[in-house]
Amino acid sequence: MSTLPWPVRAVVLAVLVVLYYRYAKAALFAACRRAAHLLPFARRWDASERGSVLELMAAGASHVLVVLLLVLVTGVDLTKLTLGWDRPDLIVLGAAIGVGEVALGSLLCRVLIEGIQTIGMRRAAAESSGSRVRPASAAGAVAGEERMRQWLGRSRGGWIRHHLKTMEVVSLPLALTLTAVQVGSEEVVFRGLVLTWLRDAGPLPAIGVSCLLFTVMQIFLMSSWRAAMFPVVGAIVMGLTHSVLFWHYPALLPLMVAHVTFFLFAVA
Amino acid sequence: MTPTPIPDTRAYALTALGLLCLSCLTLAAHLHTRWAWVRRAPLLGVHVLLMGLLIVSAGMLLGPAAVVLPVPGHPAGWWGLPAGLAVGFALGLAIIRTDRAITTSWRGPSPRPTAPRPPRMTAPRPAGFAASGTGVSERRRTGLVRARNDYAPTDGDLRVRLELLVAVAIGEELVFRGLLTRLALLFSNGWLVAGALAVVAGVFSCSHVFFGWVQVLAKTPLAVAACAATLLTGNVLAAVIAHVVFNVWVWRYRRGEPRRAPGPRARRTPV
Repeated sequence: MSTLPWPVRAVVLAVLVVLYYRYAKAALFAACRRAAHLLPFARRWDASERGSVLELMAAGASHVLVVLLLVLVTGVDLTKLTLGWDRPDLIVLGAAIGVGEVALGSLLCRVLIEGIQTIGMRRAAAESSGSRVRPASAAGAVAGEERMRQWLGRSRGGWIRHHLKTMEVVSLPLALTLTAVQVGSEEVVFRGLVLTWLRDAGPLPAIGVSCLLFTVMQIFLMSSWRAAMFPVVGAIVMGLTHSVLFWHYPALLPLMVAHVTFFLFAVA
Repeated sequence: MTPTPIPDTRAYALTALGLLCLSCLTLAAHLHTRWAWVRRAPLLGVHVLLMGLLIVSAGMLLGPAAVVLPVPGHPAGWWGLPAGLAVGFALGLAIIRTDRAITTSWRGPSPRPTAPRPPRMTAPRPAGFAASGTGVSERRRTGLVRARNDYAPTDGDLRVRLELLVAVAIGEELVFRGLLTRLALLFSNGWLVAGALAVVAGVFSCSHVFFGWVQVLAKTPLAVAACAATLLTGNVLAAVIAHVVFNVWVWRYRRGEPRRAPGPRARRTPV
């Protein structure tokens, strides 16, 4: 399939991403929630916790299968990609990049939330009184904090829930391993395979397609756009940074470390 | 990127430096809310410490002069220093007026006294002996559960010493106008340089979002004027002096405010 023009290859990738991340994962998670009731740890973990751990395990295992499928479809030789085991300096810098990404992502999220809330308050005030807006009262600040907490509460749903629950209930090494398999596979798919397969299209189309698919994938299985805001903003920051780095220096391991660090800093 | 013997290490280091510099106040807020021993220090102290580490790292990576003289080969040369001194004072006074105009145009009448903050309607978590042996004690509390993006400055965070406010002004200008301007000028394309400088100014304004959305707007003139002064004079002196003058005014303003009894955490004047 490598002889196809790059727009057709991009469409093939988009179809595969939607099929797996939207439909296959939804079916898989539904099966995991049903299977959770059959597990024998009812006294220790409730059904939601068992289901979340199962979901993360299933997501990691299915992701590895999807990587294999994409290797067959794209014909990209993964063994030729530099992993980066021999570059500890890049791995340490990858962790620093992950911390920077999560901090910048949360700043941008906060800006969006404050902006949306301010617009909502101005609109509500204009509708109720038709007079000048009064945004700076102490009661308003308290209400704003509560709204912020509610917003953060919504962002714990969807696919983020199985990362949170797993981190809460299983041992830290196991939770780390499950998270690393899941997010490491995402790096292989969206940086290793997509960017390598579309390399002949040039940097702008290849990085654009990779970032777009990576960002859209975050929205699937989230309950609302408010809940999806954190993953989407984080994906834009991370997608751009990792894509540009991988385009110039194609080493996967430092980017996987950055992705895992991002998750740990946000969730752990 | 400037070619070096190990270009990928340099690219990774510059990327990490850029991201951490852009988000240094958010990172300080994250660290401040995450660990109790960090919480003992004032938030701005953590912020200054973090900026100090970033400036030292940048000095090692780009050379010691890069942070202070971010425009390499600027025609102003040493004349940029006295020019920066004069421009900085004038800019600081102008920025105080602009900031006050923006802030007061958004401010409504004084708030009425409000009722005490209502208790949060969440289920109590067993603690200490009551929690031992229960399922709750076996669960790890995680970041999003603790909602770490909800930082809001308290009166204690803002009622800080003048030295700390001056250190914040110097550190922020060295990071945003020195280090990040230098990183932006590493791009070879003029449009990319302009875009990167706009992003730096925008993120500097946005980093004041913890004090309310109006402070993002109020800090935009400072960001744009300090960036322009740095590009004109070739050094960060003008930006540093303007920011120090502004922060001294903020300190005087805060000191003149009547102290309130502990109550709801209201957003206050910015730093």
